[in-house]
Amino acid sequence: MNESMHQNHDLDLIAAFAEDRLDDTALAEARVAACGECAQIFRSHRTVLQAVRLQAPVPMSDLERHRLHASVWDSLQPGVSSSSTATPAKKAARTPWWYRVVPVAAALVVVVGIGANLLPGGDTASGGFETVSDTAGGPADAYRPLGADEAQAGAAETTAAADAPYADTTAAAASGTEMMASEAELEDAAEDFQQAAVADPAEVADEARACVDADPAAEGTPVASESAIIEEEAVWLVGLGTSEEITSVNIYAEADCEVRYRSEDASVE
Amino acid sequence: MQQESLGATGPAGSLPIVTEVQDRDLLTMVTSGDRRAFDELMRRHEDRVFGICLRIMRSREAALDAVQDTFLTVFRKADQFRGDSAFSTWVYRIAVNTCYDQIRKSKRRPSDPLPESHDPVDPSAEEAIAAVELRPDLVAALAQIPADFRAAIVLVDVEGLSLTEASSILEVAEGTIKSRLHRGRHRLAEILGNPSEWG
Repeated sequence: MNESMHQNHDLDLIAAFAEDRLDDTALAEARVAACGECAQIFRSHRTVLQAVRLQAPVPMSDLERHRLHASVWDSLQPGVSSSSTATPAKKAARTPWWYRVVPVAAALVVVVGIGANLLPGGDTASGGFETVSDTAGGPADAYRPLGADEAQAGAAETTAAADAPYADTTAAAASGTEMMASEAELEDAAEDFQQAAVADPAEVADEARACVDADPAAEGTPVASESAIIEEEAVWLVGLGTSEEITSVNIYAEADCEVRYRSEDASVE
Repeated sequence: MQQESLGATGPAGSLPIVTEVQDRDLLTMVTSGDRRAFDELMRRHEDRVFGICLRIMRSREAALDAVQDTFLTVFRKADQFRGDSAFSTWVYRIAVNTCYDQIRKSKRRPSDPLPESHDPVDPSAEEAIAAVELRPDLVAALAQIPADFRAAIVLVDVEGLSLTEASSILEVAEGTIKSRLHRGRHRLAEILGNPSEWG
C-alpha cells in the first residue's frame, strides 16, 4: 500500500483522533474499525506520539545557563569580557585593570611635570594641581604638591572613576541595577562548577589566583577557575584542591575579590 | 516562578515591585534600554527555546549557540515586534529560523557533521542523549527526517503548541503544518522500524 492511496482517507480526522483532540470520537472510531489502512495510520501516529511525548524536559544546566548569559552580555557589550576556562574558543583576553590607567596616569604626570617647569614659583605648583584636583573633585587639602607616585595613583583613581560606567565587567556595566545572588544560587553554581570543572592548575586565571591569594581564609591550592555572571555580577568560581580533585569552591566578585561564597562541604558525592 | 522573582528580588527604584510583568511590557522596557528587563525575558523563555533548539539541532552545544543567537536577535529587533502574536511565538519563530540558518551553514561546510547526519553518534551527542533521557532510536529518527518536518513535530508533538501557534511560528498555513506532521510521523514510524504498518 503506498501513500497515495491514503489520500482518500480522512487523515485529519485520524490524526486528531490519535492526538486526543476530538470531543466526539464516534466517527473516528468507526472509520478506524472499518478500514484497515486507517487503523494502521492511527497506530503509527499513536506510536510516534507516545514515543515523542515520553521525552523528559530538557532544561539547561546551571553552568550552561551561566555560559549563555555571559555570552549574550559579552556580545551586547563589545569589549566586555567574561572569560571561561570551559569555553576556550570564546575566551576573551583579559588584561590587568592597571593596564588601562597607566597610559593616562603617565600622560597626566608628564602634563603636570611640564606645567610645573613652565610656571615659576610655589604658586605654579599649586596652580598645576588645581586642574587635577578639579577634575577629581577632591577636597581643598589636595592642593598640596604630589609626588610622582601619588600623582599616578590619583590619576588612576580619577580615571577609574571616570571609566566606571564602562568598566569591563557586566556587573559594573549594570551598576545601579545590581542584583545580589542568593546563597542557594551561589551554592548551585559552585556545585555545578565543582562537578564540571577539571582540576588543572595551569588553567587557573591570574585574576582568580590573585583573589585566592588575597583571601586569608582560602584553604588549598587553586586548581580550576571560571568566570561567570551570577545575577548580573561578574564572579570568579575557583576550585581548590589538588591536581586530582577539586575539594572546595570559592566564589569571588571579579571587581574586588570580595568573597561571595565559600563551599563548606569539601567533596562532591 | 521566574515572573514572581522579578518583583521579589528587584532592587527598589529599578523595576516596579510587582508579582508579574507581562512580556510585552518587559520588551517595551528593553527598547528603552533596560537590560534587566531583557535579562528577565531571557530567564522566562530560555528553557523552552533551548528545548526547541536542542531537538532541532540535536547537540547541546549547537543548541546553546542557537539560543544565544536567538536572544541577540530578540534584543536587536525588540523595536520591530509588532505585537500581532504572542511574544513567545515571536521568540520561537526566531529560534526556529536561527536553527534553520545554522543547519544551512553546516551543510555548506562539508567538514562539519550535519545535524541530520546518519554518521555514528559522537560522544557529545551521546552525552546529550543521556542528559535528556531520549530514546536513542527516536533521537536518530528525528535527526533523519527533514528539518521542516522535524520542526513541526518538535513544536506540536514535543512542546505541545497548538497548530495555530506552530503555523504562526513557522509562517506557513495550518494545513501545511498538518501535512508536515502527518508526513513527519510517517517517516518517523518508518525509521523506528514499523514500515510494514504503513502498507
